[in-house]
Amino acid sequence: MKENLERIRSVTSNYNYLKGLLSIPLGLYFLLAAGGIAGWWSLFIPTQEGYPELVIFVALGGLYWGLVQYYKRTFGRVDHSSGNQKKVIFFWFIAIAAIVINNLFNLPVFLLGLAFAGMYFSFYISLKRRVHNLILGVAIAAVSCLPLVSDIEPADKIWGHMGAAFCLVLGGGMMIIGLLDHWLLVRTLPPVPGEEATAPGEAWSHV
Amino acid sequence: MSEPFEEIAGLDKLIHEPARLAILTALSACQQADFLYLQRLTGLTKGNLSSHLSKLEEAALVVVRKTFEGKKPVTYLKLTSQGRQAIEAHWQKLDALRNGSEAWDPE
Repeated sequence: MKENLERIRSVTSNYNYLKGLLSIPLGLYFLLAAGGIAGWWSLFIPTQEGYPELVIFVALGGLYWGLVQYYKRTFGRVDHSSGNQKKVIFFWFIAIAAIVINNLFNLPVFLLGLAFAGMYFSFYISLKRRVHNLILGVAIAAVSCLPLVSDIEPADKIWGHMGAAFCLVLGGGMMIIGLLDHWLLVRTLPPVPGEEATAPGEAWSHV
Repeated sequence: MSEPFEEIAGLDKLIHEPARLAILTALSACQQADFLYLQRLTGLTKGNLSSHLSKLEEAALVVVRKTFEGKKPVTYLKLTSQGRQAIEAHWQKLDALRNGSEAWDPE
């Protein structure tokens, strides 16, 4: 019984992280950015058809909004304290600082990548040690340290091969992790039963 | 009866009922949750869940807030401070009971 109740507590505490499909639009954006940085397509150059990146932003934003509505209508809503929002703000502050420091001091590693790696390590520690967060953190950290073992120039770090590799690993990893987390949520929260009577105390034993 | 078993019989039945224990445990892990989430989590029907929530509300362990988001009615549940203390105390009792029963010697 205690294990089931611990799982209830864990799923509820981490519910917003388990809405994994919300990572798909952002992951797609990073994959597209990787292609744009690598020169596979011209994302940031206006064409005769208009500004393709604007269309992509709007499309991905629409997809994100649709997925938010899907989770609200299918699984419900859970609100946590503002502590979680403060963590998100803190992380973005760290990310911006990493970009500035990387540009100012020409470091031999990609600091923004290490910041993201740290974020996924913290997810591994706080989210019942889901190992895919650790794997993605290690992959991003490894890519971020490529300048130490390769001939990637410091100037290339964000807008060259370094940035493309980082976006590729991050985008692909976010999408895979998102699917895995969503699958856990679906397994843990089965469909709403019909209106026939359910014996008290038995219905939640699947958790 | 020996002590651990007497204590089991003395557990608060309002909280210890499995569905209500699941509801209170879930609400203790967040600020508030809506009716649909609790229904998905517990697997209870609407009527059954409503019945349990009414009992918890009568005992002042949860607060029920009905609102609208757009035109859609949404019901939010959250623990009262009394409810939060009650579920934490209940968990501590369960842990103490488990430790006591493991140490219990029938001799």
